[in-house]
Amino acid sequence: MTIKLLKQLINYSYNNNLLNPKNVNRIAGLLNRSDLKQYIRAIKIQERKLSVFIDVPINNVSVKGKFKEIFPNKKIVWNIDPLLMLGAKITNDDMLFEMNLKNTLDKILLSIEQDYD
Amino acid sequence: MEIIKNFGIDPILLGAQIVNFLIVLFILRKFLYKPILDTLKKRRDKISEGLKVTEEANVRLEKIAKDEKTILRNAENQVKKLLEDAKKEASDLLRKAEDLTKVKTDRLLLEARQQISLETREAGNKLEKKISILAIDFIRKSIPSLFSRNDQEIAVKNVLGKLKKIS
Repeated sequence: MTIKLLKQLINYSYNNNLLNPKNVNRIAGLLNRSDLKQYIRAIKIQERKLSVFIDVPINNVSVKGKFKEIFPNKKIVWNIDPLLMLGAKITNDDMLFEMNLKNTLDKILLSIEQDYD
Repeated sequence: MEIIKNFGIDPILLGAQIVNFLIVLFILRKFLYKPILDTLKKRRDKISEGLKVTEEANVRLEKIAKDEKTILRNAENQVKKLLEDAKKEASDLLRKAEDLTKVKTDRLLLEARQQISLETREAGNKLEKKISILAIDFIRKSIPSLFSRNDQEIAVKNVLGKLKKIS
């Protein structure tokens, strides 16, 4: 399978940046095993490109809408991580924005281990 | 002459006796006295020579005794000097050994101090590390319960504000 064809299949699998399960199933039925693997991997990459993963320590955050404003064309995936204290972790494709106490403590710990070794 | 005859002296006999005496004297002198005198002279010479040799030997003996004393005195002085030198050398060696030992001891002491200092620093560092890790662990375990939902919300809003500034 060529890259061009793979891109066409990915474009066909999405409608308004949303995965169309019907089209995906149709394409999956037509592909052989190795092509299917490539297709799934490409879909995963595309999903990651179109999604923003936000980890917060509590559920039902009141400012969810405001995050939508910052990432208007992206699907926001919320994840509750109680270990994150006082902040959030935002993964946008290959960009990571982390501002929480857990990360700060991790950095301090890493710094201590590097300094004393 | 008459008187001589009265005494019974016969001049011819006397003359003959005188001649006889002279002949005997000559013979004795020639064959007996001379060798005896020679022997006596030789003996006197020998005795004289022996005395001289003895005297020389005595002189030499005295000289030898004197020399012996001198040699003994010199030897004694040399021995004394040697002993003094040996004592001095031993003293020097001892002082040098003491100095060397002191230097070595000082160096060992310095090394030991440095080692102790290093180990103390290392131990301090390890302790600091342990304490820091423990403190962080303690914070991790104890802090979450200290924050209310409202605190967490405020923190998330703060993150949002920063994110807006970036984007």
